[in-house]
Amino acid sequence: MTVTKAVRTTARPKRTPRQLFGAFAMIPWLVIALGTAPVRAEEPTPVVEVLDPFIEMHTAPGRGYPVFHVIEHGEQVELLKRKTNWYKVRASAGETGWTKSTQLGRTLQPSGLPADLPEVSHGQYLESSWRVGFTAGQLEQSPSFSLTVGYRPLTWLGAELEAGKIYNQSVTSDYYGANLIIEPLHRWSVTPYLLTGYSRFAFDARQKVVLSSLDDASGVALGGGLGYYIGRNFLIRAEYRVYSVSSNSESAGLSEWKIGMNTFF
Amino acid sequence: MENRHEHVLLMAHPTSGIAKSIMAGMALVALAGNVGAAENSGKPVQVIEPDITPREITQARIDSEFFELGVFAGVLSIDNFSTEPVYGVSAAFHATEDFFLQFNYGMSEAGLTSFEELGGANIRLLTDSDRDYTFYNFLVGYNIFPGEVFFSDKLTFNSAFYLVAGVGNTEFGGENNFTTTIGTGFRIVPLDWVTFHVDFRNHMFQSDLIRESQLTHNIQLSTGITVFF
Repeated sequence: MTVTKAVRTTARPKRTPRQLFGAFAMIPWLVIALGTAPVRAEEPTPVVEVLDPFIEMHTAPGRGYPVFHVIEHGEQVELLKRKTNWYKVRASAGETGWTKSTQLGRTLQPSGLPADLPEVSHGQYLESSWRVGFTAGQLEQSPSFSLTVGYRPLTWLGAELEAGKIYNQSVTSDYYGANLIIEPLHRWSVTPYLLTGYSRFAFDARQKVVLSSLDDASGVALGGGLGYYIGRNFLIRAEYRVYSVSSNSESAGLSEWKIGMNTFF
Repeated sequence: MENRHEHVLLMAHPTSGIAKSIMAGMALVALAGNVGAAENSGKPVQVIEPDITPREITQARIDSEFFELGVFAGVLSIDNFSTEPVYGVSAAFHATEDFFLQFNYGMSEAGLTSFEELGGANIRLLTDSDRDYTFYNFLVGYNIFPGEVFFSDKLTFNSAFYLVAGVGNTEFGGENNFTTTIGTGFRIVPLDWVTFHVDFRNHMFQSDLIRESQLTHNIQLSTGITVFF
């Protein structure tokens, strides 16, 4: 088995949903965190062996920061921490610096197995991943935005909860919905997807407009869009939806354009 | 050494496929019987010795720093009103080296318009509670100029100049307004896990609160501290 193949077939990278929940849980403790943030669980840091002729160590996590050291083929590297797509590593000689994750992808564990930092198409690594993001759009003539939280149990299927606001000239509307996203093709960085969802709308008359009463409405949405993946965990999506909204006896067809920013982990 | 079932198979010289399959079926039945007998006698039957050493897969918990939480304070120039202190909280997720998503929640309180000041204490366009200005927004950020700051001979900090843009809500004058926010900021990273920011932001929304509907520009200038974890 070639090394590249081995890298592709190893398990998915670990994800950090726990850290997200940790993030929200930590909001009230921010002041305390300021004093104690670097305290971590004591676990032996993972060590890998370099397979490339060499890997470069930068002074900081960014492509422009100078390379001050190289770790040669066969040497051991200790992985200290990760920031975006960069790893803080310690060479066996003791130098500490930052290495891009793609370089560390070609390394071996002490057991001789390839380290698990695979470069695969997004469909595979998105399975069982969480994603959060927001969208901005226009429903008919009214601007709208929403916050989305999604989970992807399968490579090609995801579910998403959405909460948003629509600003009409005379009313504002809060809406909540659930969507199913079907995304079967993952070969390209631009991926088409289909979306179907159910939403509930609540209306609130703007102060200066007098309206008798505004009942809640519900709607079924059908849509599709294109997602563009930037790197391993950033997605821009452009979407078009058609809603069939009904309230009491009336129903109406509405269309909406959206642009969304998503990140997943 | 052949056992009873092998003996049956070895003796057979099937001439057709049907005969073969009948023989195979018989052998399977016989084998099943044999296994049953072995189970009864309490001895496991080892057919093939597996030559597999199980792969050991360990998931290393590498400390990763994607999330940034912080507070900010500064001034907000509310269009048609006064410039007042603003403060709030922010949370960001750094997806890649270049992009991040940020959520902000802030609050301020508008003062008097120049018309109200000149008109004396009797003229008030808004009640006190309607003067509360609260906003939240979702922004996407791009680190356009990453770099370093040479603070002194020995102190060098990483830094980045970034652009943000996004949408959100502003509640002001008892109304909710769709707000577009654009801005720039500068971040200094003294430690891996602490950053200082200076931010300039323009919150724009259409308002007809005190005059004909117009796009109001509400300028925020603030500084903040955040922690990564």
